[in-house]
Amino acid sequence: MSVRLRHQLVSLRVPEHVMSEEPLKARDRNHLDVCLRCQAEAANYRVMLRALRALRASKETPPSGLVLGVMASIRRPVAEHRRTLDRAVVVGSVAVVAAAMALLGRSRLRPAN
Amino acid sequence: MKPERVESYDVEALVARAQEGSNEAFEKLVEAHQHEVFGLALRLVVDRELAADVSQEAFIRAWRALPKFRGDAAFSTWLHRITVNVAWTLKKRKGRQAAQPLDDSPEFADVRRSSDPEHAGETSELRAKLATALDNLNPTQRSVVVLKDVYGWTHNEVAESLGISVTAAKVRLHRAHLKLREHLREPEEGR
Repeated sequence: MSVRLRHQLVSLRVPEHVMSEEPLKARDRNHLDVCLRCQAEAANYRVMLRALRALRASKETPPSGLVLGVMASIRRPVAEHRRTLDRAVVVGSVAVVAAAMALLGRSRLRPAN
Repeated sequence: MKPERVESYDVEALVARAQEGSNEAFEKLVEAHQHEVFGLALRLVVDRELAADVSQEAFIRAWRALPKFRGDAAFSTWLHRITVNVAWTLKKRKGRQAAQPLDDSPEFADVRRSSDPEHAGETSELRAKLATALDNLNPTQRSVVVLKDVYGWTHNEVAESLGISVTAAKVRLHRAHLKLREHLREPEEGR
């Protein structure tokens, strides 16, 4: 393979060699060791990778109401559940009282033997 | 506004309490992780309003899924995965990305401005260029770069999260790298 073709191949492999630590074959490695243009390109990719990694450390300021919004959303279903539960207890109690009164009324109406 | 620092052992304790239903514990987790979650969402969707929606929805889903969290991965990693899923879902649903021309979006300026307050100097120009270059990638390429290069995910994790094959993830990453490099290339650089 000609030096020119090898250079073209290696220049295509340099980005992932640097950015994703993809290993280079021995022949490509040998080319990289002697080719100043490929070395310069690898160095540029290293700078780019460092800059990309540094982006993680830079904190973005979230909207001020984010925490409140999240907590309101997760509390709402609980509050609704509790309201439903309270309603069920009230309805149940009324039903029990009504049934008790009906039974009482029926026993009073029953003629004595 | 600085992010609240919570040590890892605190996070574990808070997660355990939140799993038992403690709203207070979960609120502390939200406070501690809101900057990172919002930052990730913003880099993925490039729209502050949508990123805020993504962050809120991600935390709500995390709360619902918390009983299933076993601690195999770090809580933050688990939260990031949820954020990525929500970002994709909401972005598809709203279709804002396709509707807005990239250069007209006012949010881009915010991303760049707030990115690196503490690292002024010679690197700030590079980062500003990089932020612009990232914004100009298509959504999939940007997601792959953000997850792999910025957040350090593996190829497998990226592929799984985006619902593509590992090979497809690698190809998109490679193309994105070439585009980013092209964007950063100095005019006087020889080709």
